[in-house]
Amino acid sequence: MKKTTWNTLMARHPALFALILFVIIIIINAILQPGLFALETLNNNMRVFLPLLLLAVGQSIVMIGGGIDISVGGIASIINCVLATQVGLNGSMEDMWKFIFISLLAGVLAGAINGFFIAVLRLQPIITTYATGFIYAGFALFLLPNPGGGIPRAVADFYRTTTPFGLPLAFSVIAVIVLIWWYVRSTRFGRYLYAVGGKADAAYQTAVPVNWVVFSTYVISGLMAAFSGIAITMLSGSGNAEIGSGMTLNSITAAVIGGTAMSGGVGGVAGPIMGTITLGLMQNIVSFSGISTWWETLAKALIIVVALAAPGIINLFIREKK
Amino acid sequence: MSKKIVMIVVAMLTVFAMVLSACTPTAAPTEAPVVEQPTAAPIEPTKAPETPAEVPADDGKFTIGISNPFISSEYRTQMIAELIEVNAEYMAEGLTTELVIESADTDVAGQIQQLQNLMAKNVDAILVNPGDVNGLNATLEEALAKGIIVISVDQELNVPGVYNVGIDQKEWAKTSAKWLAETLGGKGDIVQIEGFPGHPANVARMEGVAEVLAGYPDIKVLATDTGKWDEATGQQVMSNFLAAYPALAGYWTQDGMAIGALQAVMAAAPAKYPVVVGEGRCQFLKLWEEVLKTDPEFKTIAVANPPGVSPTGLRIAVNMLMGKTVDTTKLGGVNGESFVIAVPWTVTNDNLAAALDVCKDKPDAYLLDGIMTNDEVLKTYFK
Amino acid sequence: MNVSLSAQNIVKHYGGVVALSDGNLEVQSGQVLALIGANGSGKSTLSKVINGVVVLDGGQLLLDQKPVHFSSPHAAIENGIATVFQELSLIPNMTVAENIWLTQEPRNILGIIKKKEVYQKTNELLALFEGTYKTKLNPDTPISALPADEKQIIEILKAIRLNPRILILDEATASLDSRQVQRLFKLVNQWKQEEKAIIFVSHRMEEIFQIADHYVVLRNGKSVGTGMIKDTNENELVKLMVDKTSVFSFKRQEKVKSLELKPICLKVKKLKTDVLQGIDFEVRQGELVGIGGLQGQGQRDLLLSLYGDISFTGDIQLFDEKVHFKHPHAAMKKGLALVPGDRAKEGLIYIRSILENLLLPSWRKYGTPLRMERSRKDALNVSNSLNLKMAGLQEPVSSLSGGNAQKVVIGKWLMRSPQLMLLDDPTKGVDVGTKAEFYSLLTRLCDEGKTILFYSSDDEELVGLCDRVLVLYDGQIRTELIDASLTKENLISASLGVVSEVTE
Repeated sequence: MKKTTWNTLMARHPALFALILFVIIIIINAILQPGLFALETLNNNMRVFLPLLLLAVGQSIVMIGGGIDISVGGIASIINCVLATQVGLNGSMEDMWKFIFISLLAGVLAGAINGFFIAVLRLQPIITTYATGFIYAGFALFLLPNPGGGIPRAVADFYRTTTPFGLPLAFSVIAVIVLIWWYVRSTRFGRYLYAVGGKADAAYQTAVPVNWVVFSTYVISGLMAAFSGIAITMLSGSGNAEIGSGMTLNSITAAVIGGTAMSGGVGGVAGPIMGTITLGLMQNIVSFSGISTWWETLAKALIIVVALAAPGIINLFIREKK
Repeated sequence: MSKKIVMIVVAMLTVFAMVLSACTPTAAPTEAPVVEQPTAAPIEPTKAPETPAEVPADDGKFTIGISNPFISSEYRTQMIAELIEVNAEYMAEGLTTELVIESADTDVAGQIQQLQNLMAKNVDAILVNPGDVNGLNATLEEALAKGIIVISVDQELNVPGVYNVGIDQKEWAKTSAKWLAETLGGKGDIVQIEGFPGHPANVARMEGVAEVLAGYPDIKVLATDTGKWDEATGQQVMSNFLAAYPALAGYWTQDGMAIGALQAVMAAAPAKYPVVVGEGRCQFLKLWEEVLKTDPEFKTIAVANPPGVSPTGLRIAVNMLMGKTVDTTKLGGVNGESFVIAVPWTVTNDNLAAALDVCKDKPDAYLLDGIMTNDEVLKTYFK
Repeated sequence: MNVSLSAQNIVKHYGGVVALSDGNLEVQSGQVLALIGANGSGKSTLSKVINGVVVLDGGQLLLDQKPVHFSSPHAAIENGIATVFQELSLIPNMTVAENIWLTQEPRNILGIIKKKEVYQKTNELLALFEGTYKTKLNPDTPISALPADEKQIIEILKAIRLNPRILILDEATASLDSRQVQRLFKLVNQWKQEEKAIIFVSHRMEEIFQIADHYVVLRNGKSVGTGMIKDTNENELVKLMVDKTSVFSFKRQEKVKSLELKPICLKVKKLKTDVLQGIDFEVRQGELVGIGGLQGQGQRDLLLSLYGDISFTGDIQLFDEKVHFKHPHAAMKKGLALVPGDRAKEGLIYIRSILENLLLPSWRKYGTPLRMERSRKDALNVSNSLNLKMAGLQEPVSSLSGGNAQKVVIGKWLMRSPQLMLLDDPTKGVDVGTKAEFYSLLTRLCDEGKTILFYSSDDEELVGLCDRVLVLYDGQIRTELIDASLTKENLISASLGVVSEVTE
């Protein structure tokens, strides 16, 4: 049972593979699309990736804690519908702020409901959040049966075109996330998170408040889903109860590409951030490579399968050699 | 033990990936004469001038981009295939380059990315089949600001400057509703199966049906349920209706659900068939033919919902790019910028034979279609 | 910091199984109490009641003469009770320092953990075992990269870091080498000076006599003896641990003493794995050989390596043929069968029918073209010979009782008529009636010329059933018990590593 260097590296830096993939994808994309680093293109890409990125960060935290949250898309949809129906295209800025605040509360509440079922009633995370996901999506549909509504144009434009420090807005958001994460990781809560996800029994025996930690991961995920809902609303400027439905699976894919283990206890925030961008750029690569329309979906799916399986395949080859 | 399982799974994935990746290159050549090769070649030149000069595209040829966020339906498949076909005509004339197609199952954010990629590829016009009624507005406005002609097909958008090309959904529904009411002689019990409640096209259609039926007070709508635009669901809903109301005089439904509904009726094998509303898919026409064998009195109608509106939209885009002037008096719709396309096929027992003739060499999923010719487009919509 | 802990009449059951019916112990500052007992006597349960991992169903705990109730490990830790867990409470993906300081990390006012301080204090703790480490471990080494003995040391340091008043060492020496054990004992003596109370759960007699002051012996969930170590000896303790009243009712027929004439079926030489330290033995055809010893002494490794499921070194000879199986499939082909102990996980597919389960290893026999009728007939024969109580072959295995389910596991191998059967504690959770049936089945199989290697955690059935028992201790065959020497006392004392044989 000797550890290979690759294994140790991967264990110490779960996002290492994500980083390698991230760099490769950026290089390929830059070759296919020479203007990739122009501010406008960069901003165009990042503003589209940001909603999923926020979702993937929340998802990753739940997964580190040993769970999974497949209700995040539903929560994002609720937030989108709340903002689109309550603020409106001609709403005031005060309303906008008020409902952003309410949205965040709603996200925390939705996450707390998940956390209650999973941490307190000890239900299976995947089944619980599958069920609550339907409830949240249904509630979004109830709020806004027909696509429509919206937020003030100025708000959408702010999201779409603001470039602080000459960089896309998303970069500032990422910086804030990374900073907060660095802080969280340096606290006891950070340690608890990894302990609970790594081996919940052992953590319990060590007097780690396991239930509380599990509960909090879902609250964080709900909050991140709310931020994601706000971002997607600002991107599209309008309401659609279906808007988050496709994002849940993508958030899990992004987290896993980012080195977050489905089994818990492994991962971070840099991983899913790179994972999301990688996932988004894959779409660009497929688009710019001039591959035939009929093969686009297959090509993209293959890249994702390879990205997900590659760390395992590398391990396999390393073991074969020994 | 578990490690072994992981190894096996990984190994299987590898093999799977290798098999698939092996498939891609081998399969490409079959596709090549039609699509693959031309795509690869002209895209390069479109990108090359990107950096030095912005517009216009190479040698004055126009590049048209397509954005489609949903691929899992025959309608969309037929639409993409026809777009490629029609564009080939213009390419032969030296007017356009290969289409730039962004087509994949995706959400609002994904379609925004599709549109941004089209802009980055410096297309001259974008044909978009929008997956969201308002969510693309800001992005489409950015495209307009770049001087790109934007045409929304199949789904009407209310964005100033964006042209819409499509059939009038309300009128489309009215045609069959009116036929149903008249065939019933203005009285009888009916049921309705609708698509997604809240979907703009469904809303427009159901409004049309309601308007028509308002003129026939003796026709009673016993129930309305959603078949979610899905054949199987339509069949199930109709089975339930038949159990609850065995003596239906007729029903109104739309699109693929009509096949499921008719199959439910056929399974019940009534002595006398109700008067039903059908749809323009070849499979439906064949079922129709079959029912006529058992009940020669069977009456139904199929009003085509043609994917051909998109290639017609392509023709409009090309002519606009060539600088021809649109006769705005011919336009209508929400923002007064809609090209309303006439429905190409309304099939009843009278012309069923002709319609079936079209279906002869087509797959079951083929939709009765109509693409306007370039001359027709010019005559109808341009000065 | 004087402390006293007293557990009185502790009762604990898991479902219908009574693990502890009358557990008592008492320990005070400056004392080392040895908690001893045979397999399944309730030692682990009693220590888990004390450290709050399980909640007791009856009796009471007194801490400093005051009744206490621990609803979680947290509550016990708050009261100064720390545990070195047998199965370790370490998080594999976290580092040595992170594990040792979990929940007790020193923080600054912002709540940020002072990493330098943690690192330094961890080094101080690591120094306690300095010189006994085999790897260059440092506070930042992930636990998963450590060998078993060093993990055990980290587990000990983690408990000590809490500066507890009462320390429970549950089999803490099992994976340590002698140098590390001596270092631990030096520390234990030091902790005694510091007025800590220590509960030492162990199987190893020589260690108990070296370190403990008092003892409590548990038998069948009851404390049956207590006293000072200096007033007793190993044999007395073993006698306390042995249950005189035998519940083993099965009487096996006197075997024809013709085994010597039979060919040697299995010959094992210098078999080594991570756990096994070199095993040599021979088994003749038709022999029923038991493998005994405390749990986790390498019994499972022995069976799995013979079956080709784990890698090993050494020579194995099957009749006249040298074999070295690299995969269970190769072993199956040569007529080996493994009946696993964990039916639900390794033996059966519960939701599928009895027929399908029986046929699982034999499809090739009935395949291409499928001969369902033939296979049904054979399956029916096997299930009849096993006296399988079922509603029909089509019923799912989940409809069977534990004993009958275990018969299906055996049956699926009988379908292949194996030469050599490896049984991995197959009677666990099987009711008494079925057990007896099971025993007669095993003897019948041996009489038919099949050879059986039988590991069991139930000492009684080993003694009552087997021709011969190999007792494993620390990955080696400690003793071989046969004929007159095959008694329960000898089995238990050999299991505990007591050298002298008890004679009555």
